[in-house]
Amino acid sequence: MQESAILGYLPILIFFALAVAIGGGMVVVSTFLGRKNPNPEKISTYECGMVPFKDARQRFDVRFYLVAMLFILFDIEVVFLYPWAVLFTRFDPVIFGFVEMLLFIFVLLFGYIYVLRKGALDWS
Amino acid sequence: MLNILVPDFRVIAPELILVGTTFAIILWEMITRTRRHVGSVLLATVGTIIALAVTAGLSQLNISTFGDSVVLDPFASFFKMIFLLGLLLTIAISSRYIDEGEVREHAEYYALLILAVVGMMVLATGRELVTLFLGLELMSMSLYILAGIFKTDPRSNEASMKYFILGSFATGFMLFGMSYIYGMTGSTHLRVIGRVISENPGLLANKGLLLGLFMLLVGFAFKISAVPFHQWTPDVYEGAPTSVTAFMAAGPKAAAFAALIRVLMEALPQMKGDWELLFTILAVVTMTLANLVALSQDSVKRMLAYSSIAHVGYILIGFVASVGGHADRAFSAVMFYLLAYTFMNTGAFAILIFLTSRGFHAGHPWAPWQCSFFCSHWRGFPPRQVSQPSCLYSTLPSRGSTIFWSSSASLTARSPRIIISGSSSTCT
Amino acid sequence: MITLTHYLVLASIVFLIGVMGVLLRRNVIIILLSIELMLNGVNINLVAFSHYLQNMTGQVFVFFVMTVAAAEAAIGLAIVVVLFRNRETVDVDEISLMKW
Repeated sequence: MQESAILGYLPILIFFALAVAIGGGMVVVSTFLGRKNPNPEKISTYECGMVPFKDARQRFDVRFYLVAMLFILFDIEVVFLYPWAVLFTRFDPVIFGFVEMLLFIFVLLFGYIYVLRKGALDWS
Repeated sequence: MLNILVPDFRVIAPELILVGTTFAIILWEMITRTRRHVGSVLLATVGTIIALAVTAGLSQLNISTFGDSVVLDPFASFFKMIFLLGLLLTIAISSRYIDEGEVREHAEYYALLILAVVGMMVLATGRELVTLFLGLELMSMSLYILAGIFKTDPRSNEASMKYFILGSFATGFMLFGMSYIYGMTGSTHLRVIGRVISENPGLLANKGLLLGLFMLLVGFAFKISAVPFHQWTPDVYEGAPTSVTAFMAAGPKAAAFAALIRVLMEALPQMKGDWELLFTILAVVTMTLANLVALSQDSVKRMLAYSSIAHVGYILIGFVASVGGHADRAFSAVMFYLLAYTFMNTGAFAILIFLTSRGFHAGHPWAPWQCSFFCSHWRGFPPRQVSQPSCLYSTLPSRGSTIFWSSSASLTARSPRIIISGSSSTCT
Repeated sequence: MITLTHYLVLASIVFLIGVMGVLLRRNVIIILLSIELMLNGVNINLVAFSHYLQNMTGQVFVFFVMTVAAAEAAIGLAIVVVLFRNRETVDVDEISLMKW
């Protein structure tokens, strides 16, 4: 019983080994076989076509924190929608479960309107 | 099929009214965008008075609903009334103070005050660990923000930060305790936990349950700020806006005590041998240390903070006394103490606000008298001492030593306080 | 075989790492992360007990702990942002104006 449970994961191990072998192999092979012809343009950091202008280790703008905070808040509330959705057809008066979730969404929506109205999402 | 019995909404009617009030306040501010505070103050006052009337009207009921997770009994009603009266007093003392403090977020200020009270009311009515946890967090989170409502004042920020870190730290401990209590008894309903423990006496010796009880009490001790878990209190009280300090000193403590009494009485009465010792130690250490440290404070707000810690010690004596078999009398003494404490404490802070803006001078001949009136609660002015020692002595024969130790510590700890308040009233 | 005890020990370790983080670290952001770690230790406990007892309450409890933890993180970050605007630091030793 114990062994078969672990054996069931064998394909994942094989898959993992293949992925490492192919990915690592490509890097190794191109290191040995590839022609190297470096110039300053080639070895500079690639940043979406822009010329890199500053060290990447800098302080983040506080506005990122604001957006992150708001994201966490609205994101995590979805956790309550899952059990509700799974059990939805089994509520006895179905309308009761529906109205309850409607109230919950209304509270979230109120919060969202508040955030908009306070200008917390304006990026300027 | 999930058979959902439509719950009895009377149990949470005052809470629903208050939540509606917060929506109204914020909506009003969003629509009008006014800088004037009158609208928020008015809405908050009206909502609170309606909730108070509803609570008073329902105070005779004894029903539980939502699958026995909230209950409305006279005990809960009494605490709800305390919170609502405290809220009314706080609104009354803050309208001017917050206005002069240049707080732009007046709608948020009043909405958060009310939400904190909703959290306290959930704490007083909850009969289930998840519900109690949610009530506690609603209360605490509103208070974290309220403590920092003076956004440009570094002290207010610092108070908010410290309160937040230590408050969430305490929440972590409390949750850890709750998880073990749930794991050992298989339920989060307080009465089911109580039944499981009384049916399986073997559980009393269970290390997991003991760990759960201990961690839960550590969490509660943080929230009521009993020594040695009191470190945050003086800093937070000093840094927070004075009106918020007045609010924090009374309501949230009463709410934590209400939840503590319910947990101990409904879920863990069988373990009284374990918690009696803990409360004896907490009470003696709290009374002694808080009063001694209060003597050496030079800020009035810090001194009031230590005074409130000392009061926690006196209240904890009631918990020790409850073990003797007269639990109802001990806890009614605790409840009366909390009621008197709410009024006297809010009064003392109101005078403090008045004095910081104006000072003692000839224009207000009554201020010194009012000040010494509210300070007199340190000397035990409302005759609650009569009721408390009587409840203590009624249990004295059965529980000799612990009661003797804690009550004698209470008397010795009170003496420096009497000198202090005596000298403060002669000074004025 | 992984038993309940293994999960409880794991949860205690995670919880204690969180406690130590709150007590020893000086950066407010790290302290916030440590508090999250404490709450997640509790979550492991609750799920393990819930599975062991075959009782769903523990998992429902976890949902509430998660949402409350998110709200707590948001409030904590908000306080840090306000503090940083005034003081230009996130070190708790430098923040302290009052006796700690």
